[in-house]
Amino acid sequence: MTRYPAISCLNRTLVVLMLATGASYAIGELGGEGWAAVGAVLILSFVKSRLVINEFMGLRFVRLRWKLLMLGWLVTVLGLIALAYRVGAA
Amino acid sequence: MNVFPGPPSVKPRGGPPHACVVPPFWAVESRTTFRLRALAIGAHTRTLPCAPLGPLVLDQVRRAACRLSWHRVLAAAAPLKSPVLPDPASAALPDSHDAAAAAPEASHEGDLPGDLAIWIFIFAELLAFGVFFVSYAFTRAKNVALFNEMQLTLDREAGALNTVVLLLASYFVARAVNAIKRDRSQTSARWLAAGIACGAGFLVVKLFEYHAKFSIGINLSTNTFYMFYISLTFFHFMHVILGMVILAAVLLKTRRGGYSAADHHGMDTGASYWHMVDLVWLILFPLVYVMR
Repeated sequence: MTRYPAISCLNRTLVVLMLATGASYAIGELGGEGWAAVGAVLILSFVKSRLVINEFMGLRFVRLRWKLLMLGWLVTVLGLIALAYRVGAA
Repeated sequence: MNVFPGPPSVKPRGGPPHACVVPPFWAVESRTTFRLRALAIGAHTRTLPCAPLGPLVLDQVRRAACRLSWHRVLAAAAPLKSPVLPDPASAALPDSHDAAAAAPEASHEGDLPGDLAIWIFIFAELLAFGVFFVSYAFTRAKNVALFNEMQLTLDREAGALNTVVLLLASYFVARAVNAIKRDRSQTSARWLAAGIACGAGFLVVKLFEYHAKFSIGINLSTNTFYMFYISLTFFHFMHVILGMVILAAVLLKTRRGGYSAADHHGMDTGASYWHMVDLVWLILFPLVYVMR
């Protein structure tokens, strides 16, 4: 049987996810532009995605190869997006 | 040399190890089925080169089988339709009643939650979405002014609201899985229903957004930004619908008592897909609505 996070852990995860979403929205509303704003939003997206993958999906307890596969996808996609924004800003 | 060391749980507990009769089926069967059987009795197979095996290894496997509860061997061997003789002496071992339940736990520990097939599908979907996201980002790099201007015409509040709704949906589904692991079917069904309701909420908000755009004549050919916006969000929209259909099927089975703490593989499968839909939106929202 696969392991799964406890309820308290899920609750904490939800709170952090909501706060991070609020922060992303605030950056957009405050007119955040440029590399710093993009970097901050990407980092928030990375944190949120990691929380969903580890806590909600329950991948915190799976074998390392599955974690690395998911982390690889996330880092590749966010990294290429960051590169594209860097190219666009140049 | 001990080429077949058993785990601590198969250490001798007294009595002659050869008191039971275990048929030597592993001497003739394939390597795969042998490994399955060895796994079932808690023995390590990594050191074994292939089947058939030498007499020393066979003897150790036989001894391990005798010391363990035969229920566990029977439970694992049943799908393979091979004869396994009972060991009356081992029935008195303390772990004999938990052995059948422990067997699947040992084999699934560390595995992905749900069916492997859905994970192949999930990784394929993530790859497709990833290509979409990167295409959007690099196309934007060539049309920064257009994308920045068009981004201001989007309803960011609606996007943020949908993010909150999807996060809540994922949380509810995670709670549903948590509840079923504690054998609370009805509670689990309620969490699932809440998750589906959130999914419906997402669709309603998105439909309002689409209506606002389509009513002023915006479509796929308006410009490159809207081509990406409509394609990406509609692709995700369809995934939300599919996720809701899967969750609805899981909900129906949960209400009928089809899942339990011991068997909730199907719910894990459906939940994993739903979380993937949420995960994709967590990148889509900042990419399309926020980042400038």
